[in-house]
Order: sequence, then structure tokens, then C-alpha cells
Amino acid sequence: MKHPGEGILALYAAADLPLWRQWATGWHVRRCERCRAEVSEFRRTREGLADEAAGWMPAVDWERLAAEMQANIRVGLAAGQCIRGREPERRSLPLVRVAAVAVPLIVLTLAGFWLQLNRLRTGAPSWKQDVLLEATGGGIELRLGDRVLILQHPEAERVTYSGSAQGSLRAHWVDAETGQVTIQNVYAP
Amino acid sequence: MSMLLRAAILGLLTACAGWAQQRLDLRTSFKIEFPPDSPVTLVSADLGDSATTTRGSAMIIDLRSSLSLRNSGYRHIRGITLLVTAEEIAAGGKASVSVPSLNVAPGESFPVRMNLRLLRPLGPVGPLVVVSLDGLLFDDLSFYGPNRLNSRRSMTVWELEARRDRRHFRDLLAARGEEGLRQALLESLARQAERPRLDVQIARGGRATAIESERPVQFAFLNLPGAPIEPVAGAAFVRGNEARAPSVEVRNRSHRPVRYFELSWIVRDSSGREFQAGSLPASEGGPLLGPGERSRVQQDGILRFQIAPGSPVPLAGLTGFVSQVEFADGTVWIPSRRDLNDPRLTRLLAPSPEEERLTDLYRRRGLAAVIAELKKFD
Repeated sequence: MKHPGEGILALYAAADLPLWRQWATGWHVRRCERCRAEVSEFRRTREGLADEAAGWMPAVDWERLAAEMQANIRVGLAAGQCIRGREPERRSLPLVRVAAVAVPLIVLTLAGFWLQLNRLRTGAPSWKQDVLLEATGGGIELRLGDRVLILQHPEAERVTYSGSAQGSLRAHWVDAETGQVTIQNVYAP
Repeated sequence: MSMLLRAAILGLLTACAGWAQQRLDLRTSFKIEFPPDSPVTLVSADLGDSATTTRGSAMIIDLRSSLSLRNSGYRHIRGITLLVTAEEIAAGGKASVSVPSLNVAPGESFPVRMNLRLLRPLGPVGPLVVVSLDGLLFDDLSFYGPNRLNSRRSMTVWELEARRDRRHFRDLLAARGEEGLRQALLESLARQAERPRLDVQIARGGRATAIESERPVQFAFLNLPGAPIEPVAGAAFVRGNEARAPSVEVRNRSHRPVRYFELSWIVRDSSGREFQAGSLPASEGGPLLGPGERSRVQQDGILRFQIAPGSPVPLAGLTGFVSQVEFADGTVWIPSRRDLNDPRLTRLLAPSPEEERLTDLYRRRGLAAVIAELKKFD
């Protein structure tokens, strides 16, 4: 069995090891009587030293002393800033900053444009016809070459479609807002 | 970054956004025309967030309108049909928005909502959409309007269906009480939820697919006992999920001349599932069909059926039945509830607009609201 060194055990006794190392050493110490004894010895020594230190300098308030030292350091740094004089701010090139804003915007715009064009094309059938009438998710669409007329209905409503062989398509649903039945017809020319 | 540069970028982006999406100009893009003696008048037209957008070389016009109309006549309005024409976009193509099952008293206002989208190449913009009145149906079944879309007949059919179905529910209420009516409404809602639905595409013009691979499929017919017209024979050319040029021969078995009739058809796919597919109407303006005479109705469109995008319905069988007949004197026949009380039709047919409205009312506001609505039309 490989035992941790004395330094590690001393740090473990004071809980000063990094988290993972503390856990691994503790795992070993719990199973090793020799190391457990050493850790106990370190802890007793540490407690003894703390008691003695309290006896040597009972009047020193260590917390207050530390706070005063930190405050003095801050004052010193601030004073240094005052007497050094203002240096010009380091700036990156304006072109780079503009590009950093503009490039993502352009990419976003182009992506949206491409997606929208693609969405418009997906409804196109794979076969030729002069006129096409079809029910899409949100309405009835009449397509004549590059021109499209869509009579839309609320997508949330339960819509019933019906086609007429004469060349028209009908959708009807109950309008949630008005409670009225609405019937839409689109007629091919 | 300097303030000037930031302002320039912001200005550029704002200009781009403004260029890409402009508010729709009501005066140049959307026109509402009602005849001067019309029994309905326009109270207001709210265009909401209507806008035009440019996308590549195309212009997209989104029109979201809510019209408020007033009954300025002296009779109750039962239905309205507005004709929507976008001549520049859909040369010859048109659309309509109808609201049946109304009960608008003289002086009352009612809304009609209309959302549409037009896509056209970039170019000068004239009046894009013209909305005009095609017809109004009153409680005495009289009609007003130019009737360019034959909306008189459509609205009469919807009104007769509405009366038939309100009477059915009122009879149920009288015979079986509130619980009986509730049960019927719940059954209708369940049927609507379970009814198999179909998307239809209609095409006209040349086609790239090979006509040789088509096969004729004969129609089977459901004979409704009370129908004045009897379908005798019929067929359509079928290829995959497409049916082309359906034709049906019918005989007038009534004693009255018939001006127009319409058949509903049901399609069956290769696995035996059935769907209500649409209608096969007779040609408008044809000669009257005298008592005992035969006639053939044929349409040249191509209908494609799919359950959802990418899920075509391979056609295996066609069934037809007579769904409406208009006599020479303008009166209209529709099937009775008893005629339609066939398990197959009950399962497949969409409810009438009125039955859908009443069941929706029950779903949203409960039985008391339905009973109050039935009493309004007494």
C-alpha cells in the first residue's frame, strides 16, 4: 500500500488540500491505521499551537489588522493612479468592431432569406400544371406560375377541407373569437 | 465605436427593415365595394397588422382584415358571402368568404374576418384586392346580391342544413330532455374528432405524368331514398393517389325539372380505409334535366389525395351519393337526417356548419348556451 507523505497528511489534517485530493487522502486514512494515527497527531499539534498562540498575543485582533492592511493597499493603488497621468485608451480598429457586428447580421439575414425562399418552394409539386389549388397548413393556396393567392385561416382551429372536381377548394371552421362558422372557397380560373 | 458610426448602422438597419416591410396602404391595395342599395353597410375595416414584404424578387402582401358590417335592411340576415378578387395576382382566380348560420336583426352589426396572402413579382402596385358583396340570404330564404359565385344556392343549402339540424336537436331536447341533448352533442363531438380527414389538391392544365398508367375505376353508389336524382353509372381515371376526369350519369326520378345537382364522393385506399373526398358538381348553366331524363356530368380536373404532406392515399375505390339538388324553381333538396343515418356516412361525413357551430358552442360554453341558441331561432 502506498502511503501519502507527511506533508500531504499535515495538509489533510488542516483540510487545506484541494477537494479531490482531500477526498482521496481521507479515503486512504479511513482504511490505514498508521496514517490515521499520524493525522490525529497533526491535529493535536495544531490545536496545541493555536492554544499557545492565543496565550502569546491575546491583545492582537488579527481580523482588524488584515482589514486595515487591505485598505492601505487600496489607498496606495488609487494614489498611484492619480499621479501617473491618463494613458490613451487602448482601442481596436473600428473596422474590426463594425465587422464583428455586421458579419453576424449579414449571415443571419441571408440565412433567413434562404429559409423563407426554401419554404415558399416546398409547396411546389413535382409535376407540371397550369393551376394548382391545395390546402396548406394555414390556408387554401391558389398557385398560378409565380403568383400565389392564399386565403388563410387560424392555424389553431380544426379546419375541414373539401375539394370540388369543378376546380375549387373549401375550408370551414368555427371561429374561436366570434363563434361564427366561416367558410372559405378558392376557385381556380 | 463613435456615436456617429453607431447612429449610421442603426439608421441603415432601420431603413432596411422599413424597406423590407411596409405598412399596407389601404387606399391603393385594398378596396371594398358594396352596392349603393345594399342591405348591409360597412361600419369599419380594421387592417390590423397588414403589411407588404419584399423577399428576393417577390412581393408578399399580408392582408389581415376585420370588417364590421351592419344590417341596414329590414329582414334578419342568415348568411353572407363576400367575393374576393385579386385580378392582378390570380388572373381569373377568385375566392370567397362566407358566414352562414347568422341571426342578425335589422340595425345590428356583425364581424367578418378575412386573412389572405398574395405573392407576386415585384412591380408597380395597383388595387390588389377587391372585396365585394356576392350575396345575402335572409330568414325568409330571399336573396340579395349579384350571385356571381352562385352563393344563393350554397347559402340556401347551408341554411336548410342548419334548420334541419336545429330541428333535430330541438326534437331531442323535447323528447329526451337536457341529458338526451347533451348525449347527442357529445356523440357528435366524438364523431368529429374520430372522422378521418383528407387533404385535397386540385390541378388543371398539362401534366408530366404518363396517362398510359392510369386505370378507370367505376363508382359505387349509395342510393339515398329521398333523393330526386339517381346516379346510374360513373368512373374516374385513377393513378396512385390521383383521380382524373370523374364522370357520372344520373337520372331525374322526380316530377320536377332539375337545374343543378351535386354528388359527394368517398374514396377508399388500398388498405380499405375510407375518406370523404369532396364533391362532383354538375356544370353550371347547363340545360334543365326534365323528369325521367338522363344526363352525364363530367369534370376535367385532377384531384390528388393525401392524409398529410408526404402521405398519399393510394386510391382503390370510389363511392358517390347525391348531396344536393336545385330544382328549376330555385328550391333546393338536401338529404334528411334519416337519409344520412347510415353508419358509414355517419362515420365519414363532416357535420353541417350549423352542427359544428352548436357542438363548438357546447364545448366552449356548455349546454345552457346551446339551448338558448336553439330558442333564438324558434
